[in-house]
Amino acid sequence: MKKLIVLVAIVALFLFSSCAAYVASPALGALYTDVKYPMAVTSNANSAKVGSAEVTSILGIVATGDASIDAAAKSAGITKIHHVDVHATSILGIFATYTVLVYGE
Amino acid sequence: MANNKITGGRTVLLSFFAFLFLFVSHTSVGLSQKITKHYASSIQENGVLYYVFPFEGFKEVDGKGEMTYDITYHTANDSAVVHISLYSPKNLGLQSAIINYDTLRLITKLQKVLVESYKKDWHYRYKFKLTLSDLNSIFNATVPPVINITADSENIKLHIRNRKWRKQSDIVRKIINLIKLNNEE
Repeated sequence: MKKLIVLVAIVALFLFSSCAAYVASPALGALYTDVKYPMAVTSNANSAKVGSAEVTSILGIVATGDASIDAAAKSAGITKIHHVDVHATSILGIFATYTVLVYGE
Repeated sequence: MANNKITGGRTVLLSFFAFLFLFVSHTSVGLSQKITKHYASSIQENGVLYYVFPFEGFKEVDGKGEMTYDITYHTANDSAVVHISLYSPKNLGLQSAIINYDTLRLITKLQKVLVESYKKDWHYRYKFKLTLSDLNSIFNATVPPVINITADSENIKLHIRNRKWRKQSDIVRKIINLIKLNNEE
């Protein structure tokens, strides 16, 4: 019983301490997150191209990348943006990614 | 008594790391067949647009270059656009890509999207078009493909590890299957 409490305490400490990698999301899972959600919509018609840009975070200690709409649009040569979606993932607060998907022409 | 405590503590720590390992391996490898986190689709006026998120793993054989790729496919024009990002410290003017898979060789002209600096390297972003059947045959290759990129001054040879390729090709094949199933009348 004592061991179990210690184990739960260690897991809880790890998950809920500030040293955890989580990203903005409308629904956050402490153990696992894999969520897609909308960010923006414009009045431009149609979208034949998709571009993505990503940032990653490790343990909430190191976070790198460029997930700007501009970076995602540039990656696919998009000049007219139709809509923007986001894909957020995290595993146990150890590794998290935040991907911006830009649709347009 | 003290020894028992130490052993107990070790067991707890080992259990914790075993749990971590199992969970991470389950979510990252065990669910590799779960393709939802590897693609996005959008319904358009004239068809459906599919986007396969970037994959990495191609490395230069004789250098420090690395390559990632992502795939966009629109059902209306039945052509997949493959965007490649080559990160290299060299100054290059990319011309074409030769994809060697199984006994076949596919040559395609590269079209520049942008060139920008990335850390200490250059980021060369180029694209090329493929038909869905070409794409399908590349990802059905029994051995990992070797990509030769011809540039102004030299050729860049890129390869990928077998295990990585197996995982990536499993995912892309499943997405291609999904596209085909949706395309059927």
